[in-house]
Amino acid sequence: VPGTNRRNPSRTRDTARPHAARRPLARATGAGPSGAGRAGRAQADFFFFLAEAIPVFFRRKALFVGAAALLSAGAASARPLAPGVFCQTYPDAPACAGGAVDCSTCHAGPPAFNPFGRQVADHLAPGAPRPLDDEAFRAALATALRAVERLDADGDGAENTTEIGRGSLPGDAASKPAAGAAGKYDDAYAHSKVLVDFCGRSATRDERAAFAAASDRKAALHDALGRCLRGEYWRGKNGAVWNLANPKIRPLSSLKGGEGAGPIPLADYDDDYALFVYTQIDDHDARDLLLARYYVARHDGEVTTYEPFERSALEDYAVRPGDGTSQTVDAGERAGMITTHWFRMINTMLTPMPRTTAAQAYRAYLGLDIALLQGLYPVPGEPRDYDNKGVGAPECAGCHATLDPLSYPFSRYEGIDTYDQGFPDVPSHYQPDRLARFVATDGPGIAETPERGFIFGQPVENLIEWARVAADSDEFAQALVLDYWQLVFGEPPRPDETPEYTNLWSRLKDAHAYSVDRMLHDLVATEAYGVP
Amino acid sequence: VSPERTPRARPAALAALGALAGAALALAACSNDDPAKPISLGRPSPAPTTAPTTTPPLVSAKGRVNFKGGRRYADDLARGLAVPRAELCRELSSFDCVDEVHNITLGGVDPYDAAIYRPSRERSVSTVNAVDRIALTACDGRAKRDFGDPDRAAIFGELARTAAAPTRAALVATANHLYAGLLGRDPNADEIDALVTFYGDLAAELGPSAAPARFATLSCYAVATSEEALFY
Repeated sequence: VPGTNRRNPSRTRDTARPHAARRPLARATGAGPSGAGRAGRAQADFFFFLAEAIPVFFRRKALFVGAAALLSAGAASARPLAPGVFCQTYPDAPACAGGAVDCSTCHAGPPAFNPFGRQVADHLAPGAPRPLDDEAFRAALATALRAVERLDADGDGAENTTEIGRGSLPGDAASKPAAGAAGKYDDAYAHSKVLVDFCGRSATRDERAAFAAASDRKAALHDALGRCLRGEYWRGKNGAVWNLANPKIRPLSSLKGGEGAGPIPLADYDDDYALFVYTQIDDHDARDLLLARYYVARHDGEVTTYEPFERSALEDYAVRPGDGTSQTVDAGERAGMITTHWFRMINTMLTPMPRTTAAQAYRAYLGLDIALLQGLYPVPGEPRDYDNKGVGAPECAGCHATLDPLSYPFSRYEGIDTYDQGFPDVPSHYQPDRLARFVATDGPGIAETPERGFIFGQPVENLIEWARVAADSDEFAQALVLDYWQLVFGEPPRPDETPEYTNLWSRLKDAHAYSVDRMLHDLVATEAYGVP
Repeated sequence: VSPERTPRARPAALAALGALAGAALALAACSNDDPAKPISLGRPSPAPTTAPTTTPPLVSAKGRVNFKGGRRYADDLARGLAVPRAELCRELSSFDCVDEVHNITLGGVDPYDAAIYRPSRERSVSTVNAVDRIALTACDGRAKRDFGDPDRAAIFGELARTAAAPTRAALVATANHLYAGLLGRDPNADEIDALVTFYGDLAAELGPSAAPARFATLSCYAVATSEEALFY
């Protein structure tokens, strides 16, 4: 179980952190040079920070424990491979459009089956000795799925194959195939929606009249969208695009540096928000979410503007000196949002093996949540368990064979480190030999952890390559479009809308060169958007 | 909203709201066609048997309706009622109803302090209370402004500029202002008649001197809390 030292189970990762890493926390309690006047408030805030951080830590730990227990208890029933096999069997199923099928397809709550899962289980290599190895399981599951296609597991009148093909749940009688919406695109309706969705306000009577009188309503619709996309509601601080970044950045005011700094200023997430918004507007390449080697300054005004800048870590510190105010990795080691000072601080924190960081990058930018068994591409021979956490146990390896090699490229980037690494004397927080200082707490194996890792089963030499593979993937485009889809529709694509969703992310990659603005012009032209 | 602002004619207001959302009261059309003639008090009877004058609403193929959310709703209200956004609604006269007090229940986020990164998909039981307070406060504020300075009235000038009972023309003008400001369109005949009827009910209950100001607040409230104003 991650977080537990197998050789000394009483020592968790937090209690075992290096001595040097305690310095910023000591400073936060008022023991450092912050001054006595600030000490009381800082101490109170520090305990507040602990009160927030500790439950998060244990929740995450509990999640791993829970997942391990489920996988252990249901070794023959809830397999990490199953979602992938399902989507290989039904690649056109709407449920697979987002990259991975949901557990609820077969489970009432793993490991318990729903009626469809029970039917499949009954046809899963009957009579074959258990447990099935991975290859036998793959083959048997595909066969079992085919065998039950013409049955109606949940008794709702629709065959399993019909439900799979049309995006409803074959094991849930309350979930029935949609009849498919019939209707006609209504440009006046779409125009009104555009103003609410992208301008943040309803159309006035004069605007409605002008639109109704327009000689080219299609052009008028796209003109209106274009104006909204240049407006403050869309691109401003705390605006629509900005707020899309919340679950990716996961800000916390008490740890903020820079403008409006909190009591423990460890890093400034304003940089993250600015970079995020910049990549999403003005036809910029949205892949810069993962590829940017620049950062972005925000200029507040009637309409907020964004300006990219390029500085080394030391140059940035010279321009923006202070606690947690600047970026601390040089351009050559930057990979957009996943190497910012804040992202490393809030996810890697004090850990040598940044599994949480990799999992968050995978979830936030590729839409794949390993805790939900999504995006599993087990690497043969993994996990090697370099940090001696016991992740090689069978009940853990199902996920960690993907997660650990996914994490290795992040392992050279410091997390909470501003003080203990003596920045700016140490000019970059990308440290090729970073793991050597964890040998005392995590065993000698930790220093052998390679920087080379894997994503989607593909080897990558470092995080820069990792980010390139991720940014060019279908999963990236799917997740990006899904964010905007859910923003305007309030829900994921319905089964009958899957072709339009697929067309959107496909054209984002090809026809639109990753311009979100152009993708949105496509989106408002869909029937999903314009049919009332 | 202070207790003294609580409308006494609540059932009538709700009846008007129902009339705007549905068709029942739409049939209770006032037969007075002379716009200059003072309207009669009380609900007209019997109910007309003629067909409704509006086109039946189209059936949605998608059935996809989204709540505007607090921020957009408040911006629409402020613009539609010509009230500065910062003065639209403040709890205890100090805290913005939308951005601060009812932010989360109105579908907002609080990423920095409460780790609420996305709007809740479900509305809470208190959402309707929050909407109610915001709409009523905003409408009451507009009415007070207009009745306090009729020459600069934005919405209710036709009601505020005369001490006499409002004419049908004045009520129609009020309906036009409300629908244009809050819904971005003109009211149809049924919607006008529903408001005119509502004024009659109110005047019968409160008397002709108190009815205009109360009508201003409650007619505004009825339109501002309609499905059309809240959802899109």
